[in-house]
Amino acid sequence: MFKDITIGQYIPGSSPLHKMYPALKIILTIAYIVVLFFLHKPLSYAAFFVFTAALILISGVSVKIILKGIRPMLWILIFTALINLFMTQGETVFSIPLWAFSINISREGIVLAATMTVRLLFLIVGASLLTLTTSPLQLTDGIEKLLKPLRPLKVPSYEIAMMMTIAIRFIPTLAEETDKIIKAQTARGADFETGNILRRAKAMVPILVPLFVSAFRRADELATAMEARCYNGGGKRTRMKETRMKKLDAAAIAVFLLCCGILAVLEYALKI
Amino acid sequence: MIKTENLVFAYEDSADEVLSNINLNIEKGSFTAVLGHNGSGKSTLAKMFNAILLPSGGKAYVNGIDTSDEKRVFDIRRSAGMVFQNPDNQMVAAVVEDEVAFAPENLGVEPKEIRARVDECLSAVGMTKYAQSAPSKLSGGQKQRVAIASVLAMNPEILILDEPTAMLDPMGRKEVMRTVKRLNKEQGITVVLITHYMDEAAEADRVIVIDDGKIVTDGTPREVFSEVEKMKSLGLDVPQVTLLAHELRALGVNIPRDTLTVDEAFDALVSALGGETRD
Amino acid sequence: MIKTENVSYVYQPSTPFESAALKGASLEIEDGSLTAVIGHTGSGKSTLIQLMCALLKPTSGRILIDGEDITAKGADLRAVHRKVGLVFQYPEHQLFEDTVYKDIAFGPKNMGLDEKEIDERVRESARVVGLKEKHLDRSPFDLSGGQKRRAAIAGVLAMNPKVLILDEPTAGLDPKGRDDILGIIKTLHKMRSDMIIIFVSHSMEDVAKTAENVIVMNDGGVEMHCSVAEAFTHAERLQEIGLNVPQITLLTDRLRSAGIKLPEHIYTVDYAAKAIAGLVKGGDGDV
Repeated sequence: MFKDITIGQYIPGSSPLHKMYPALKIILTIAYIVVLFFLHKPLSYAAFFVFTAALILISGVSVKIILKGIRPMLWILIFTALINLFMTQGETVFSIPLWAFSINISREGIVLAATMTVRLLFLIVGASLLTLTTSPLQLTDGIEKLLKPLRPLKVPSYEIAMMMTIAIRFIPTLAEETDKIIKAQTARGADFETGNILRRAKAMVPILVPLFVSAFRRADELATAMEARCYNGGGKRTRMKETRMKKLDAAAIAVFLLCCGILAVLEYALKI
Repeated sequence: MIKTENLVFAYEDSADEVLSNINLNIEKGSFTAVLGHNGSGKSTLAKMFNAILLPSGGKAYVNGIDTSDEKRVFDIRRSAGMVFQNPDNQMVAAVVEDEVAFAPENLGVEPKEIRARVDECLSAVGMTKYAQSAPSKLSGGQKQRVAIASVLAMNPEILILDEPTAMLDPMGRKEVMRTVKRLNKEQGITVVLITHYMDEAAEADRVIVIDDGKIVTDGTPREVFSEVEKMKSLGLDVPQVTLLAHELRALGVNIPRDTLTVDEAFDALVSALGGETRD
Repeated sequence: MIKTENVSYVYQPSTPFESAALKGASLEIEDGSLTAVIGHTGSGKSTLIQLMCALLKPTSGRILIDGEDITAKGADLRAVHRKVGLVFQYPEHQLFEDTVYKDIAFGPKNMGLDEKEIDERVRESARVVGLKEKHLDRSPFDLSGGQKRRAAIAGVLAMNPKVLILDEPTAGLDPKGRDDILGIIKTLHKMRSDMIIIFVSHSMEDVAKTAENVIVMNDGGVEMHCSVAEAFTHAERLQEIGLNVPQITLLTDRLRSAGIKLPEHIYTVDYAAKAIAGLVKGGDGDV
């Protein structure tokens, strides 16, 4: 049951998006989301949609997979839309009578609900494009690079990256172990499915204790094995795979700025 | 290559000696097996050769370096690479080739040189094909071969293996033993193999038996295993044909007591049974 | 009796990772028998035992225990878990209580037994696996490796199952620890005359020393299901499918093919020694 967990859901490929410098990709993803919140006009969103569609096309990731990524967020989307729809005050367009009350739906509410839903949709698509085209290891590398300037402020960027790498490495191992422990305790008659919340929480003890014991044992052994291979914190470490900025990355920045320019014109200069 | 002088080890706040008065000299290029039951102190001894644990008394030298010399701890660990029992608990990276690159990265080796070492070491253990795989997708034997490669990437003179096959199936055990033997024969790497499997120890040049923190027997596999009663009393196995020879001798059949392999037993028995049963 | 009828199991069906772990296994295991399951990794043996314990549901086929279909819709799985006790590989990793006593009592407690019955069962099963009274009040994490394993086995025994299945009970143990566990299995077999005991092993030597019958798994199918003695007469086939044949079998096979008249079903050192000594002294190998 735990084997279905996939973090990041990386889809291997060789598109320009896959090849981009990971740190830059993270920055551009953040910028993409920031830009999104500056847009108000439908025309701007139309343009933004075209840009996003182009990105998906370039990435080579099938639309199906991206839609699949949206599905788990569906409830959040619907919830956000409804809250905005009902809770925004303004010029009433129509009202639904409900016993003694009536629920008023305002023009502002409709606009806000639509805008928020569209923004959230784009946000999900943008973030999943990042994880779909960047392997967990590259993501780690990107985060390490981004944190590096903070090293003088005693932010342990190498160590954070190492921890993330180890976490990624151990997800399948621990998932398998959890599965095995659940089965073993089930075979001993443990019951995880009936009873109230308190009872169910208590029923987790036979799973959690062995899992923690094993995680600590693994951590201890891993630390020894790392020491035996001369691990000594970040300082002097080199990297086999040095990621560097390439021409492709400069081009990506240029394209991104160009798109921002177009959006700025549509949003602020054009009076439609 | 490895030398100990009156080596003693006890954990702090414990009076019991885990190792007592160990004197050893392991030759360059040799293949030594350290045999003993669980809790005999054999794994503790292995950790002495890598400065993971330091002697409470006496000295341990690796490649001529005193292991208690704190400044040279990385020199020791680089020259005496160590592989552990649980393949899952010694892997750091989520991709095989990154795992092998880990040690040279720690040593600050140039990226190009790391790449060359990774390729060479993966090919030395026959895992080139799996360079891009995730360790969790490999079999136990394959994982241990990757663990060996990731230690080889430090260019060590000595390979110390602490029960590397205890958690593997028979096929995985064979894979690992074949790899270790090849590294010893072809690349001249000194091997110290900690194990409780007698069939693995039988493949070494020298077998040291540890019991209760002391060396109780030290010799060639032939010498060590021919002492069937002694090995049994230490809670250890001997090869089945050696046991057979032992029982046959007790029944009055004349067969060498140091019979070690099926071939030897076959020859000895054919001549003992002589012409009368031969068609 | 356990009966499997053409049982198959497919992992992650209708995905790119689909793989058949078991392809139509049909078996009958008698009450009171001691059976070893052997096969290399990926041969389907772990899947087979998890199916017998109703921890997995077969993709097709039926499994009957004492005539009751445990794979039927609406089958009482908790009742099956009480009837079929499974000791996992490295079972000591599932210990969790603060005393050995409480850990062994976990199973019986889940069955809803009364205090007195639980107490009896805990002490009885601890005794069977060779744990002493003084161990019962200790933390399971303070025991030695071999003792932990025995405590974990006691935890399953205390549920008093009709069928006891052990998945590689000797994995990772040294020769002494291994012999202890195999000894416990043999003792249990003698004590409980109607209990079905099944253990998975990688070692033909352990199988030779302990079991009566053997199920040899290969590539998701049942390759052999016969007495241990008979299985060893197919030494060549066993080697072909990647199993380790003990030295003694290799030796007696070679002696026989060199024309020396030894009985066919030699697979223990004692037996071989007696047979060969008999020949040397001018008898005919039969003992």
